[in-house]
Order: sequence, then C-alpha cells, then structure tokens
Amino acid sequence: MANINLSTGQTTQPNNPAQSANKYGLISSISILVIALGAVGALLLWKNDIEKKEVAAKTAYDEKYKELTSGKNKEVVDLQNRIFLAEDLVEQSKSPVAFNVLRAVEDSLVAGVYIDSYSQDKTAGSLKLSCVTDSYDSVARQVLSFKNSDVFSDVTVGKMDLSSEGKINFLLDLKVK
Amino acid sequence: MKLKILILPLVIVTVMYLAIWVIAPAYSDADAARNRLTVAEDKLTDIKNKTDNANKLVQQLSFTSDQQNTLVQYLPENKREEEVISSINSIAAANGVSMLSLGLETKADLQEQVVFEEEFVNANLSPEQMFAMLPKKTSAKNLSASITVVGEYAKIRNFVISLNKFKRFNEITSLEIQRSGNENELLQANMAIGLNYLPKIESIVGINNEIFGEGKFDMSVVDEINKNTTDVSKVEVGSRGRANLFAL
Repeated sequence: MANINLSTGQTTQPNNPAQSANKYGLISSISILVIALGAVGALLLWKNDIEKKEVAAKTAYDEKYKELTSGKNKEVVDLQNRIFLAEDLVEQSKSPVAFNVLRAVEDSLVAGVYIDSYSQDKTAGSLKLSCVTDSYDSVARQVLSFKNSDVFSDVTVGKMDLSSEGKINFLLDLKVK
Repeated sequence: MKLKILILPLVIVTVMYLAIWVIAPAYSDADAARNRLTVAEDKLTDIKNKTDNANKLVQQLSFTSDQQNTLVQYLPENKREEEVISSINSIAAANGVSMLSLGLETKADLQEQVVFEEEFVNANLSPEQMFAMLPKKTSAKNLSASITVVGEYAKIRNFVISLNKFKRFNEITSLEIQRSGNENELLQANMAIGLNYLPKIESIVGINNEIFGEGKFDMSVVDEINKNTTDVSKVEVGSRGRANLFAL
C-alpha cells in the first residue's frame, strides 16, 4: 500500500547538528580572518606613523645640529675647551715634578755628602746624581736615606772612585715614583 | 556544500600564514621602528637642551672677557714666542741668574694632529660617526724651550720655583745642574721646559656633552690661575726702521 502525505501545513526540518557546527565554524573563521587582516592593516599604519615621526625627529635633530655647530657657538666651544684643558694644567702645576724632586734630594742629603752633578728627566722618571764624600760609610748612609724617601722608588749605586784629593766620587741612579 | 567544507581549512591556513609570515614580522618591524623613534626623540631632546645651553653661553661670552684674557694668557692660541723669551729673561734677571742660552722648538706631534683633523673633516661622516670618532679631550700643542742659566744654587732653585709661577702654563721636563768651570759656587743649569698652546678652533666637528652640558661657564679655574701665578711680560716693538742693516 502506498503512503500518502496528507499534511498541508509547513513542515519543520529537524535541527542537523553537523550543519549548525559548520555554519558557526565558518562565521568564526571568517571573523578571525577579518581580525587578522585588520591587525595587518593596523600594524602597517602604526609602523608608517612611527617612521614618519622618526624622519621628522631626525630632520629636527639635523637642524638643531647645524644650529649648534655654527655662528657664535664656535667661540663657546673654543672657550670651554680652553677651560677644561686649563683645569687639567692647573692641577698638574700644583705638584711640579722638577721642584719636588729637587726638594726631595735636598731633604735626603746626609751630612758629609754633596752633589757634583744632578740630572733629572721627567719623561724617563729618572734622576742621576754624581756625589762626593769623604767616607764609604757616608755613601752607605746616603743610599739608605734615598731608599727611605717617599719620592724615589729605586736606588742603584754606580761606580765609586777614590780621587787624588782623597774624596770618594760615587754615582747614584734613582727612579722617581 | 563542498565549497563550504573547503573554506574552513583554507581560512585556518590563511590565518596561520598571516600570523607567522605577515603579522609577526610587521610587529617586529614596527617595534624596531618604535625603538628607533625613542632613540631619535631622546637625541632630539638632548640636542634641544644643548642648544638652549649654547644660547645662554653665547650671551655670557661678552661678560667674561677679562677671564677669557687670563685663560688665553695661560693657554695661548698660538706659540707667542716673544712673550716666552721676554718672560724667561725677566724671571732670570729677577732671580739673579745669567741666561747663557735659550732655544725654542715646536714639538713634532703638531703635524700628526693637523693630518688627523684634515682626514676627519674630509671623511664625509654623519654627525654621529664623527662624534664617535672624536677624541674625548682636546689636546694642546707643545712648544719646548731649552734654557741654560748660570748662578748660585739658591738662585737657580728660585728660578725653578719662579718658572712654575709664570702665568703661562709650563713644565720643566728635564733639569741638569753641574759646576760651571772652576768657580766653586757657580753652577750651570740646563733645563727643558714644555709650554702649551691651544689653537683657536676653525669649525665644530662634534658636540661634546661636557661643552654644552650646562648653561654657564665654570670660571673657577681662572681664580686659581690668578692666585698662583705672576703676569707674563708684555712685549712692545719700540722704535724701528734703519738705513744701514749692518750697523747700529
């Protein structure tokens, strides 16, 4: 026997879960795609804006640089250079090496010894002395005196000769600290 | 229906592609550009401060002329040999020593400095590169004087002290003292003196932080120079012109 559908009203299709998931998945995917494309656009616009600002900052810097390195600023730089250098030189001149060494030798010279020649070189940090005395004991005391000085770091005793007048000539090589 | 099935994986692949190959590099580029912008803005702020300080310093130039004169005397713009000769002669006379000889010599490093500066200016470098290459401290040129004086020990000693008070920076680099002939009391001293001078700059090749760091000149060094030194002899030409070049 044949089945005949006699219903005349609208029939509702039962909800298909697979179709529904497909539909939402598609909408979500398209939304994500739109968001991703929006992000790309926003990033490019942001980068473009930053680069424009960077160019503007660099241009402004170059203008300021030109302004700073021209005109009367040359005189300012010249004077500042002179001040800075003079500060170093004034500090340097507060402890004049030549005079300090001369004074240290004066302070360290023991009784019975005098100097025949004095040669100081600041660059080499050396002082060579040719001294005269009457006894070897004075030579030893003189060497010890220089060794005890704060100004000299090293004392080397050179040749010692007895002269025809009975004096002892001796050489000393000192390192200035 | 078949197309609908294909769209979902295609979208996922496209989004992944965009995220990995487009968004991440674009963000990285934008971030790098933002960092560069921060650096550029910091530099701009710094140079604006320096320009403001420079304007204040320019205004002060006219009020500090006396102090500038002292500085130029202490560290002249050129060798000023005539002042050195006259002053050393005055110091020797004031201390009772006879000056047997006086020689002046410009030190060799002057040439090296000039070559360096020319190379530097012609190198076509950006301000940043030039700044990086700049020597940190400006160096002065050297003029060396060799002097021989004869006198008693105390007078030579005073001469050495007086040289240190000369209102032009100088430094004794070597000192030799020995007996002068058979005269027991008389000594001969040979000394080499280093004198400095700082030529006026011709152009600014870099902006040093120290130079424009403050809007005021620190002139305290001038007070120290004035306190510890005596004046440099002024030299005048006097009468001049002669008919016979080989007679007085």
